[in-house]
Amino acid sequence: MIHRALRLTAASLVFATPLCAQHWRTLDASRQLKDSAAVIDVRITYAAGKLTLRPVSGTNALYNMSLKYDAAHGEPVANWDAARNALQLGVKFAKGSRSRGDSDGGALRTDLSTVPPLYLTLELGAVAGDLQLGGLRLVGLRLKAGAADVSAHWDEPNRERMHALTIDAGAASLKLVQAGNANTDRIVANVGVGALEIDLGGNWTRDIDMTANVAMGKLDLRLPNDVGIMVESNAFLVDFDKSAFRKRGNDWYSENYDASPRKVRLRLNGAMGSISITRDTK
Amino acid sequence: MITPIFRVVRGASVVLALIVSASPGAAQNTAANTKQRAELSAALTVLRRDADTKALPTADAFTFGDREVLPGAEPGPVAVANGTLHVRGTVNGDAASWHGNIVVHEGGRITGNAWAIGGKVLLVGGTVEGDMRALDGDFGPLERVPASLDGAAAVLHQGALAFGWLVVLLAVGIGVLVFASPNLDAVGDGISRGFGRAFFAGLAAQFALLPLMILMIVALCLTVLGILLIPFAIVAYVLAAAGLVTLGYLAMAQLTGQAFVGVGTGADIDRRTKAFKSMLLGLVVLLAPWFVASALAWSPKGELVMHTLAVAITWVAGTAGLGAALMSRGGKKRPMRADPHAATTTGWATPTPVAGVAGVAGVAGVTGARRPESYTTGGTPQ
Repeated sequence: MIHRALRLTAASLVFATPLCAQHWRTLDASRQLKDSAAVIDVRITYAAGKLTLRPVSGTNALYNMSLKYDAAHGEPVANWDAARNALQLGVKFAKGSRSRGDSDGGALRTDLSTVPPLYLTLELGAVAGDLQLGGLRLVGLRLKAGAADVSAHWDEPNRERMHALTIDAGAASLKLVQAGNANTDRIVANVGVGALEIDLGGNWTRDIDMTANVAMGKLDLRLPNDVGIMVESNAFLVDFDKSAFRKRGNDWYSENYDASPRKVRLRLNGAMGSISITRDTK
Repeated sequence: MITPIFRVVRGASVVLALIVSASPGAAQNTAANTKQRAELSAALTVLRRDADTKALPTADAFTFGDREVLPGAEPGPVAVANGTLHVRGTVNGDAASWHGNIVVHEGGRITGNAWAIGGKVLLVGGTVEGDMRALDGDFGPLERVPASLDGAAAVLHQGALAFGWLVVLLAVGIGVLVFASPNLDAVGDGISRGFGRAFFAGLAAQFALLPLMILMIVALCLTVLGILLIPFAIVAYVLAAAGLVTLGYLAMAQLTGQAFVGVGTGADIDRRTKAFKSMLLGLVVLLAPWFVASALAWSPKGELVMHTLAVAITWVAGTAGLGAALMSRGGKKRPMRADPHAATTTGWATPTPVAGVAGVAGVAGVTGARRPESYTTGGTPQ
């Protein structure tokens, strides 16, 4: 009797759980550009799906966004805050909503204008992303990724001096390609349990100060042959191949460090991760 | 005379025929418009739930068919359904279209946003000062996962959570009954012998858990090998603490259940059956406040009160269980039990030195002074 009652209760709870159907919608949103001098704070939030980001030139649009989303699980965000000069794009998921629907078929394509200077923040969840950032005028970039698989390219130089490029790779697999074109003087990489590959190829305009905080993940740093690197290691159980380095004081210097026209100063903090520094760039 | 009369009659006939023939069409059009407006209203109601489209005009603001905003200014919102909106002048406000495009021609201007639902916003030399949106897809009634469940859904959700916990704890409890029954009994004995002592021991343990872990880490840091062991030690420590709390909570549950079904004393199968029943019943009793709280999920105040009560009961049970589990070293240290047969044996009795009084129980019907039960271990007669 008790067993039957338990089975009935369990079955009723299972079948009574609300099941949400999918309601796919598409949204094309854009906004015309008015002020091209002030820095625009752009924040793209996307929890699940495919993300594409491209620079757009030759139009007077600040942005174009094409979004396919499941309206049963989230709602689109395309807010322009004139007072803060801030733009927010993406999808806001309902609290407690499972975003797997969007990971199955959701997609976000964003074109950003190359005219105004932008401070770009990307907050990504389970996203497969292809970001083409070259040609934009980025004064700052922050990329926060949870379980994403994202590739960011700078096929052409960033058209503004970038003050900081910050990467937070929780459990994500991130790849920065031709990041030397990012035109930045500071890179901060926080790697949780994910993998981060930074290819610093491209046209360097200045030296780079880099801080890498690696908890249990993997950082792969690829440098052009003519770039010198100095490593200040405060890592606990993280090590790197020092065969091509010389020790001076407490720091490690590549053999070409003094002669190199461009330099990377890497401050390495970590606990149990893995770091590799290679000098071949694609 | 016939001709004018004939003409009047003929004219009246024609007018009557026109009225008769026109009426069904007009009625049909009105019905169609009403239906379309109802559909539009339903769709807009769904769309206006989103923050992004909250400012969409209501269905009353829409006109059906094509519409043109001529040069000059027109107050917004301007909205069309099943047609194209051509903007050649200025719309002071928002513009919207339903199953149609918005075309902003040369010289045209929309000072607000432009929404095309089931259509496009086309700029042909004009400007839109706000946002341009083209929305398409399924605008049917949504079953969106709400930000916070309400009513029956909340009750079901909370009930499912409580039921899930019951199932998980019961599964763990069965495992403990099968593999670590003596430990469970020992912890249960510890609680029944001194609930207050067990509770305060558990309370002290809760305060000491974190400092002890820090102390352990510091101690491990003293050696190179110890440093390597730190992550494993932390995991082991947390697992051990969680295990003790679970063991204690299950012992508490079994003890509660035993109050209803008693303790099996007969055959092995009887003892096992009663142990399972007491575990199940005890868990149901201890989790009952959570079920009541879930049943009150529709009422925020009632749920808050019951949740507080449920947390308090769970905490007290867990704390006392933890204390007893610690005092019994995870149930390995068995408390000394009183021998149920000791009272009938002569070993219990202490011969009294008073002359004339039989010092041995059963001999003269007078029992001598006895040691306290907790110390009776079947000692030898003195």
